[in-house]
Amino acid sequence: MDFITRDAVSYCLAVPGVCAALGDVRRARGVLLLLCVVGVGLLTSPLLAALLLGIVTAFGASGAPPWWQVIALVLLVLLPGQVWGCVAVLPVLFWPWLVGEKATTRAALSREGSVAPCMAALAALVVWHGAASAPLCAVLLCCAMAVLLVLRTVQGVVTDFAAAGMVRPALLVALAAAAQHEGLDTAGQGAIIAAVLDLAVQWLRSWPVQSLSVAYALSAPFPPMPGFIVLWVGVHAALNLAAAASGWAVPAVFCALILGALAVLELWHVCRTPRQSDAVSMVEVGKAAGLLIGLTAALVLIQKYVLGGNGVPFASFGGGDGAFLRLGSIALFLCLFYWVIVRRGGGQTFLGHGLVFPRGTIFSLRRYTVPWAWRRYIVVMRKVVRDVALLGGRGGARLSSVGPALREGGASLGWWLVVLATILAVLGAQS
Amino acid sequence: MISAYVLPIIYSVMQCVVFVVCLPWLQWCLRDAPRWVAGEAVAGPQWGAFWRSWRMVWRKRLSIMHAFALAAACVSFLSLPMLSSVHGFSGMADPLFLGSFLLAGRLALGVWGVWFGAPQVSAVALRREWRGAGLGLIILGVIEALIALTAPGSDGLAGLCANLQVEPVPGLEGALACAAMALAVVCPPLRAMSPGRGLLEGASMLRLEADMARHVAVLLDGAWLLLLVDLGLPGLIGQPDGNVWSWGAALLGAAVRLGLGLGVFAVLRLTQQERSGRIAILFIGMALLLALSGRAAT
Repeated sequence: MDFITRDAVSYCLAVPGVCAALGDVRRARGVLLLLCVVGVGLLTSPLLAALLLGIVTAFGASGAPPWWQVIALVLLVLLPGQVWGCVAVLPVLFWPWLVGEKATTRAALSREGSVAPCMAALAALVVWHGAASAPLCAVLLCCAMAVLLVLRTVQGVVTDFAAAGMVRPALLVALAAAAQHEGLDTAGQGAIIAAVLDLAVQWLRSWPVQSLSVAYALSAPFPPMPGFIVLWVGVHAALNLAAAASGWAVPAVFCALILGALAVLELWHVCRTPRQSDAVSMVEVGKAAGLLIGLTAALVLIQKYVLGGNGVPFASFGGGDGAFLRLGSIALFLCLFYWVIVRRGGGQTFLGHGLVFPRGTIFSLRRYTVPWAWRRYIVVMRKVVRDVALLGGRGGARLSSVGPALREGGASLGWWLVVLATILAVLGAQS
Repeated sequence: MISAYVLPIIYSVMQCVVFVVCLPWLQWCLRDAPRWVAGEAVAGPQWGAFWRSWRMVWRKRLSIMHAFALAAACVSFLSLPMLSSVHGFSGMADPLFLGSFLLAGRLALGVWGVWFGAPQVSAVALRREWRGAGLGLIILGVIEALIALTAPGSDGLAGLCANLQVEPVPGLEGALACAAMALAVVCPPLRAMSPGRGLLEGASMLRLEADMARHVAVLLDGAWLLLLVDLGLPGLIGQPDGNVWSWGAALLGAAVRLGLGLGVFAVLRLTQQERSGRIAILFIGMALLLALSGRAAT
């Protein structure tokens, strides 16, 4: 990664967070978050960064227990550039979303505020500073955070479906660090650009609805949207890592699947957002189209000319594994198509009648309870353990169904399938 | 210059036109052939209605949502490899891109348009459609992972075909077929749903919208079938050169692919296994197992 020095990356990651903090409705919170993002992003002194993070976690919305905060900050100071600091700090940043929104913090965590984009930027910065020493650890940490947030969202603890997307920049940055560690420069560059794009989209989404009412659709994983570009580039960077670096096959594919799951949550989020009317004013359409085309052109030009992508085809964007997303031809086709075929009139464009998004929830959200089918398996497992303990053949072992089946030599097909799948999985993970 | 750029693009446009012309027949095979096989009396392909709908689209134009769905279908027709995997817009034939575009188009169509005040059945079906689209997105990611892991460095479907011609990968074709099958189970062709009060009240605009949605649904179903067929059987995509026989083989391959896809859809419809989550997960698991065993075999 010769073209991106480490400092430049942290500046780029800090910019959307700074913008979001500057535009916050509540000035005091905005200034606090601005200080924090600037401190962590632009100043490389770990002591100062920890001080600023401490101030924000003390006065901000994070509700982590104080002893954990102190330990996290001390780790961040004592082990600069190590992964342990970000292991401890990341849960502090996402604590309200992990534990559940309390009534007092709900207002602070709403979409309008700059808390979510700033927390995403902070997490990405902290991961970028700490991931270089142990990239696998950082990637797994981000994956774990994403899985936890997705689980909390699906359970209904976090009502904001798009909140899980906060981890995505950190995940992409960890992937970039891993790719850099393995010597895959283009994949790392692609992942970092995707992370910056994602942060920018989250910043735009935190704007008030009056000024940009189409922003919620920008992060949707549909092809012309930046959310799709982030998904595509992230998945391809992860898969490049899986294919080209040894030992990364399983974690990188897991990463790609998590990116897909986060995209599905974005889809749910878009579907839950109510539509205002059946017509969109041309000004809104112009804003959205300008944002889309600007972001796309910036991406293409950055990869082609700033990063020196010589093998990149014309007007396309690559994730590093030899596949390219033809952004130019897609944009050209869509522009021509929409210009010709869309109905307009009276300064408005016709969005379409009808109910596209279903009312209510897609999943039936519920709190976590162990379902009865699983409980049956758990009971069977307990029985197996007891069997193994009593395999010597006292009276208790005869009562179970597992013992005789094992003694028959595993005549059932299911056992053999399980064994075969395990062996194949192990072989595939090793190769 | 001409042979490098203009001819491939003309070829792509020709392919798009051929697809669009053949669509009513394809639609008949998708929608009515299962009923015909089951012994019902069905009408033939509706050519006249199809062309009238095109004329209506041109005169009245579309709303943004329907235009999005139509754009997805047209991009697929332009970029999917029908006879040859190398043509003007073949670079756009990325599985994740085309698949998510088509899924989003299906969602934007709202299952042929469900109007306000729709009955509960339609609302439930709409919710299932969204759920299926979420699962389909994940399956597309799995397909992308399968391709990237077993044939690294391939650029979309065209690159995958080129890689497979150079060096066949054991297990990949079976895995891709299983994954495409899972997609076919999760997201079957669109069905008409009972419209709500709005349409019954007879607003002319709503009627127009419903007609447009029906027309776009025909195109989307055809595009979805083609994408699944090309994803699942990349080995049958020909690489025609100057030889006449190679063109014949490519035509035969296209016909076999389409026939197999139509057969699979018909069987799924007849056995009423569309949207069966258990079968979809079974096929995904089988795809992963096949890919892993192919990898272990080398």
